[in-house]
Amino acid sequence: MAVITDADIEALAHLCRVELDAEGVARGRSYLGAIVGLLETLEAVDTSGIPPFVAAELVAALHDPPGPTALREDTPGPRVPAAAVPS
Amino acid sequence: MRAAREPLSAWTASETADAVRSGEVSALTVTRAALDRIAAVDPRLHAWTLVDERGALAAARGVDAARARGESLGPLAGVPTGLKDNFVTAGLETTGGSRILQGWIPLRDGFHASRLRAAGAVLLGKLALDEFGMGSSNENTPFTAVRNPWALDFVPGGSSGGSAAAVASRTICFSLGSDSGGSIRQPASLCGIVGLKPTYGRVSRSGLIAFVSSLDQPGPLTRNVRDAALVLGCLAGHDPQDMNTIRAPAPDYLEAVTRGRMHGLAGLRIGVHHEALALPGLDPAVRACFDAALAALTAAGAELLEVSLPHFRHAVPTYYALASALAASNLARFDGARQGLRMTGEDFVRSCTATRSQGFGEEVKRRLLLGTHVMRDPSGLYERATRVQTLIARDYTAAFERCDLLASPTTRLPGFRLGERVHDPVAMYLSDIFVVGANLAGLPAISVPAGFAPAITGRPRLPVGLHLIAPLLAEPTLLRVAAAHEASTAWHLEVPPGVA
Repeated sequence: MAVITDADIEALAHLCRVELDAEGVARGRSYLGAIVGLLETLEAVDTSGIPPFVAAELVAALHDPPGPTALREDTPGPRVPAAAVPS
Repeated sequence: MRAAREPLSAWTASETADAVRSGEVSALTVTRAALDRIAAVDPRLHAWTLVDERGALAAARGVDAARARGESLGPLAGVPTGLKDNFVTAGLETTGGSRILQGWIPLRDGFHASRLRAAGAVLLGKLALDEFGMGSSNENTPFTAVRNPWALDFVPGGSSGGSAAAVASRTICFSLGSDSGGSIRQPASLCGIVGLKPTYGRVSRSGLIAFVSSLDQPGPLTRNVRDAALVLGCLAGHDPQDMNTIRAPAPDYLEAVTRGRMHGLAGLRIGVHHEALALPGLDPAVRACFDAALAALTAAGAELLEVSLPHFRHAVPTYYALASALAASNLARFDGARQGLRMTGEDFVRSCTATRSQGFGEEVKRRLLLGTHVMRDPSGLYERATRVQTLIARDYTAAFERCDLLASPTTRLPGFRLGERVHDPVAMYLSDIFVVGANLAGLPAISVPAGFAPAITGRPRLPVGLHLIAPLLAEPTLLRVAAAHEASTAWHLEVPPGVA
């Protein structure tokens, strides 16, 4: 089972844009340690050859008449110039 | 006519709309009675976060004026309602149950408020929830926790706990909730009412504050099955504002209810999910109510058979992996720059961090940490969860080749006390075991009153729910079976003693 450290919690909090005091970090470590153990039970499931579930495909299959999904191709487009991004 | 026999608060949505349309009672009288009842009982329940008395009275006068002009009134004419406070409403503060959105007053109605107003419903205000829908008890809130009308020191369930308590306490005929992992059905069960989660994509999410976009589905909480069908009929259908709504006509849901009540269930096969019944911790009183519900369905003509869902035990970890990751992504938009709380810092990142630190509650921060962990997990936890989700959906597909519907209890326990589980979030998550599967597979599901767990030492008499799951778009079958069950019982007619 993955060991969650204070440093892990601090790194996650930084990415989430939330500040945690020492007590919050300790609570986060305790919580994540418990829940990650539960999520890791999924590693035992054989998912070879199983496609991911896509909600948009479920909806498309239910259209009457059947229609395409509302998803576009997941391909990279042109980069936005840094100067065009509001600071 | 019921007016001579029972107070207006006892009327269902169907009865109220019929009476307003016929002129038996005015929408204004109904609205005033509902506002009076909120004033009388809600100080004990805290289900309402906002009551818009002036707007409600104006809307009621509008319905009465339309009738006086001879106009055709909608299917919910004059029916008082409330929306979970994660539905966007024009001119009414919409908080999502979070301090971070306090003070945000949207400029326009979302799909749901707009549809209900067009159907003639009178919106009385907004209803409490676990912050952004994250919780099963309504305790994850910066505001006052909602109480269960059946026992005021017990939770009403969540996250649509305010929506359930308001209907159970008869302040309104129906409410709307949202269900991403049981958030309509679990509180409906704990409060002794009907809660319906439609097929994913059957009802638009436009104007619902996003929590788990690929699982979120709005639906009604009502006091009987007919009202659930009535409200669903007003909401179902394609919405160009939500790319994930199904382009298919909505069937006549009320006809399905009539069919169930009048013609029973001959020819229907109901699968009893045996792994659910084998779970440790299933309360004996819940089991007894479930067995009685199965007997009622059999007496109505249904055939029972045992079915298996082999990946059932993986539903909770799959749900929490996906839900937390999607929530972390959806909640990234709340940075203090556009609406609600805004803390100031030396630059944007510090301002944003200060705002989110002050604005989000403990459970939301936990889910953000978990969701971010899931998304950056090098072993591909998120993607693995989406593949297990496929396996879970396939289990249901296989089960529905043998039966028309699946049945289980809605919850393992009839309820729990405020504060009893709030410090053990993982135990709280595991309590969702019966309800999250329908969300993961996109299936319609309903919880209906199925009896009461009798009072024992340390626990009062509490309602118990029967949970039914149907194949995709088979809401008519779901409503037919729920209506047949209701026709043979009287659980839905009981009034909580705390607010009688």
